[in-house]
This record gives sequence, structure tokens and C-alpha cells, in this order.
Amino acid sequence: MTPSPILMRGVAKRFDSKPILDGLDWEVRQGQVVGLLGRNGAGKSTLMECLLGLRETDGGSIALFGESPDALSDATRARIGYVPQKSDLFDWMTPLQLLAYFKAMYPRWNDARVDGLLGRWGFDLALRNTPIRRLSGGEQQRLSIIRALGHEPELLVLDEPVSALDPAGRRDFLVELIEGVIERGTTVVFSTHILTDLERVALDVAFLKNGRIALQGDLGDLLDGAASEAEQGARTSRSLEQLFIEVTR
Amino acid sequence: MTRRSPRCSPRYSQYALLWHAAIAQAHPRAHAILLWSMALMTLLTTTVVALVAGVQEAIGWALCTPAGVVLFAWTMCLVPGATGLNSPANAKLVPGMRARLIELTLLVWLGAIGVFTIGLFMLRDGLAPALLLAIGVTLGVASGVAGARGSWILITPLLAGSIMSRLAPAWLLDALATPAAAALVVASMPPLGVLVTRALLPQAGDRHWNMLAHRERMLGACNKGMVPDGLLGHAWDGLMLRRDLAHRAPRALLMRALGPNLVPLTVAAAAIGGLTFAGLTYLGESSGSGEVAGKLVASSPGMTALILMTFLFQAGSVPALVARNSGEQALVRLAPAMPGLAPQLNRLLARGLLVRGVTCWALTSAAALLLALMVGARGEALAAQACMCCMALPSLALGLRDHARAPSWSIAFVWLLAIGVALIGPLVGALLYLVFGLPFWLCATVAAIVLAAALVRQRLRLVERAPWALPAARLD
Repeated sequence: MTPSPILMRGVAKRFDSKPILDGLDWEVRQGQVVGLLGRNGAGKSTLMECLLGLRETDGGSIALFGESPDALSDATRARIGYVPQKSDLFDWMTPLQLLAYFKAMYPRWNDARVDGLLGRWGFDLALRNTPIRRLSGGEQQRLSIIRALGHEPELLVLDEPVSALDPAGRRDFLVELIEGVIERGTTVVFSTHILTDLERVALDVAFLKNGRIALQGDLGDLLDGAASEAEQGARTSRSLEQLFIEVTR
Repeated sequence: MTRRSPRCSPRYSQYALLWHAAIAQAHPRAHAILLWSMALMTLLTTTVVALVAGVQEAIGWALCTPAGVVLFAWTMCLVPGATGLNSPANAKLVPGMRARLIELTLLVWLGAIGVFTIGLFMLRDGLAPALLLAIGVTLGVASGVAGARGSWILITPLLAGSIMSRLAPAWLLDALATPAAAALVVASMPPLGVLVTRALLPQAGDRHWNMLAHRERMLGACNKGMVPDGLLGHAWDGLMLRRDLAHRAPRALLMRALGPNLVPLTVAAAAIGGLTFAGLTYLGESSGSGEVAGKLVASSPGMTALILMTFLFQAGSVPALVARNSGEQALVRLAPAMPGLAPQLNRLLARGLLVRGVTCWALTSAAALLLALMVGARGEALAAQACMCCMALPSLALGLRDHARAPSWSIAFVWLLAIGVALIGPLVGALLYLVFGLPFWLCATVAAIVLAAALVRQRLRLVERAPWALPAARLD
């Protein structure tokens, strides 16, 4: 049996005395596209960093493709892509140098896809050779996404990847995510506060509250189920926003 | 702003609050460090001077040393912290905040420079030149750190110090040596202090925003960078990057995640600093006497010390450099080219930093010795300067640390630590010379090398036990 891309059991994480993750159990199966939702400070970024082994946990166990994040094999690491919340790119490099740098770090790299994305997302020849510190926040975030997609990961962890993008940039990103990533069967964990984006992309949603996954399921089912529970007989369709407020309140 | 104790006046409590808030930006325990270093340094210098030179000199040093430490803290900690607190919104909207900051900044400077003046008065005649230098350096550097444009004008006394005594006309030097000149300089301190302090802490308005923007640019240039700029810098760094990417050596790739290689920049700065020093000395000496060559040889240890400072600054900057770009370092750690276990990655990083540090030390030392050779140092003089280079070796250990934890010291403090560590060898050498009559340079060099080896060994063990070094500075 193929191990799940993400399996977390009883994961705990505290900052000083404040619990951020509190005995969290979570499983994301192969090919799932999960939108991770939670209020500001709920711990979404911490959860993503812990699951990738980028932060030490205070308890519980985590497995990525069946391996501990503290001792991931080279092959497993080649299957993981990550876009951090804050683009903190190596700003002394140019976009081309940055991509060449990460290309050198991976056994597999799709040059054609990277070139295509650079072209479609507005990186002309001049911009590709401009030091990253001179790019705008949106351009840096687009570059960060291209870098994460270059090695064609099987698990893509996106921490608010569109926060610095304008509406056109967000649309381009969602098109790429749907056509170039999700339709290929990639497992995606995607956190955002822009719920309309999530409704276009995510098949499943998970709500993080009080350090645990408070609710997880198929987006359509959750919306319908919540509506029928609320007013039996009067089956009005609810928005994700209403559900978000009810679950995370 | 609350009372610290029932006996304190509200204004004193506000001063105390602002003092702690300002200097804590340099280090959370800056106040305690300042008190301890002041006490220790005063005790040490006073004892040594009392034994060697007598009571009056010792009293002078007992006053000058703590005043010097406070002036350093004022320049490097209090003023940057106070300008940080004096944001346009705070300066304009928080009642009395700017006024208290100005008063505090001014009182600390006046108190310290006043004690320094009294101490200096006990040590020498003709105070005016030394006082002018102290005023120029403290106010000038503080203005520069705060982001005031044109502050370099105040620092020029420091740069011109080596040649001023030779180029200035005799009547001016005589005038400066009189008590009247000293009195004039002392009388000018309060108005100068008020003028500069008010300029450092403006009350909103365009000038304030311009200062912030200027400081931001300066900090950007320092933090982000020492980034190779200009065509030559980009071309060189691009060439080196292509070489590293072609070889795909994990250590070279990992070191790339810390920013551009600073070794060429450090060596270039060392060479320029050394040549400038030699040039200024040559100019000064040639205008005053015919024995230029002999004077240059005599001043070459100063040149070597200046060159070694560039290495010490580089060594002291390593923790801050590693802590940059921690977000992207997460991606580097997840990449298959990097070791998959924490001790392996930490070891790789530590060795990379060590190799880079040793390379930098070797090249700056070579530059120092080459310049010493060029200005005519031979035999013992040259050997002594080679020994001086070895004194800097223990600072190599500063970069070997638990990088997962944020550097708790500001970069200025780490630089000071680097200088402090480099002084241990000479201190041991001096002690052994005074007590047992052993050769100073030999003892100092052996002590520095043994200390460097012990520190590096101990720090490498620490690195292996530490959590994942990347992303750096994630554990606070």
C-alpha cells in the first residue's frame, strides 16, 4: 500500500506557553487537493512548516510519503514542492540564476515548463536577468511559484501563494494550478484567505481551529451538509465564507 | 511610562524606560553587558596603569575607560535605538516622547564626554586636539548611524588625524595646545551636543522621512548586501556561480544560500584600507621629515592591524549573514542535493564557513604582509606582523554556532567580540612576558593558535549536536 503523502498524529507545537498545534491529527491522501483554512494566527503556516520538518514539534509524529521529515531520503525530497508565505528569495541573484541554482539541486527539472511559465507570467529577457531585489513583490511571488513547480513535485505545499498577486496574476496562477498541477494528480495543500480562489481549486477543505483540524471534507458536501443541518427543510446554499465564520468562530 | 520605584521621579523613570528600550535593540541584555564590561575594563586598565605608571595616570584611566565605554554604547546602541523609537508617529503624536529622548541622549553624551575630559585632563596637557577628535568621532558616527546625510564631515578629524599634526601650521598646533583652546572646546560641547541631538531626533516632516529613507538604504546596502554591485561585481559573482552550479558540489551550493562570497570583497577592502593608510602616512611623514621610509616601517603594524580589522568584521558578520533569507533556506534544506540529516547538513555548513573564513584570513594576512614588505618591513618587524595576523585566528570560531537560533547579539557586539577574542593572544603574551620574561610574540602566537584550535573544536562539536541549521534563526 502506498503511504499517504501527509500523515500527522498527535502533533503538538507551542510558542512559549501558547499552544499552536494541540494533538493535531491529519491525513492527506494521494491526489487530494486540500484547502487549509483558519483565522489569522490559527497556525496554518506553523502546521505547514512542521509537516515539512522546517520547525521542531513538541510532540506527535509526522510522515511524508511514509518517512520522518527529519530524515527524508533524497528521492522523497525530490517529490516535495513548497511555496512559503513570505517570498524571501536570494535577492542577490537574477531569476535565471535562482532557477539554475535550484535546477542544480534536483535530479529532475522541467526546463520547458519553467521557460513556458516565465514567458506566460511576464518574465521577459530583461526581467529574467534583473537582480531579484529589484523585482516587485508580485514578480517575486510568481518566481517563487515557478521555482516550486520546476522539479514537478508530487506533493505541493502552498502557503498563501497568491497574497501578493494582483487579480490577473491570481487568475494565471489558478489556471496553471488546475491545468498543470492538479490534473496531473499532484497532491496539493493550499492555504489562503481568498475563499473564492479556494472554491475554484480545492475539492476538500480543512479548518484549523484551536490547534486541531476542526472539520475536513469535500467542499460541496460540507456546504450542503451545513445548510441542511442549519435549517431542515429550507435548503439554501451556503457560501464558504459563512461556513468559515461558523466553524472558526 | 510607569515608575520604577517609589523614590524615582516620573522623569527619571521615563529616562530609564527609554534607555532600556533603546539599547535593548542592540542586545536584550545590553544594559548588563555595558555595566559589566565597563567595570571589568576599568578595573583592568586602572590596575595595570597603576602598577606601571603611577596613581595620577591610573585615576585618569579610571575616568577615561568607563567614559569611553559609555561613549561607544551611546554611539552604537543608544543613538540607533533612540532614532528607532523616534518614528515620525511617535515623535509627533506621543506626548513628550521626543523631548525625553533628546534630553536622555544629550545627558548621556554630555556626562560621558565630561568625565572623559576630566580623565584626559589628568593624563596630558593640551587637551583640545584629543577632545575635538572624540567629539567629532562620537557625533559624526552617531549621525551617520542615524541616517543624517553629510555626517562624514564630522568624522574627517579621525581620517585626517594621521596627517593633521604634520600639515597644520605651527601656530595652529601651538594654539590648540593652550588651556584656552581646551576651554573653548569644552564650552562648545553643550551647544554642539544640542544641535546634533536635535538633528538626530527630528519631529516628523520631510527631513525625518528622508533620514529614514537614507538609513533604510544604508541598512539595505549593509544587510542585503555587501551585494556585488556594478558590472564587475555581477560578472565576477555570476562566473563563480556558474562554476559552482556546473560542479554541483553540495558545500559550494550550500554556501551560495548564504549570499555572495564575501572573501574577494573583504580582501579588496583590506588592500584598499592598507594602501590608504600607507598613503596617508607617507603624505604626512614626507611633509614633515626626510626619513619617510623609516617612519613607514614603524607605522606598518598599524597598517596590519587596520587590514586585520576587515577580516575581524567579516568573521563577526557571519552569524548575521547566515540568518538572512531564512525563508529561502527552507527550500535549500528540502532539496535532494543537501544532506538528509541534521548533523550532516550542520557539519557541511560549518566546514564551508570554516574554509571560507580560513581563506579570508589567509588572503587578508597575505595582503597585510605584502604591504608591510612593500613599505620596507624586514626581519623581526615582518615576523612580528605575521604573528599579529595569527592573533585574529580565534575569531574563526564565531561563525560556528547553533544557527537555528537567532543571533541574540547585534552585529556591532559580535564585531566587538571578534576584536576581544583577537586580543586574548596578546594578553597572554604580555602576561607571560611580564611574569616569566618569555618572548612576547612567540607566546602570543602560540596562545592564539591553541585558543583558535580549542574554540573551533569545541564549536564543531556544538554544531553537530545542534538542530537543523537551516532555516536559520527560526528558534527564538
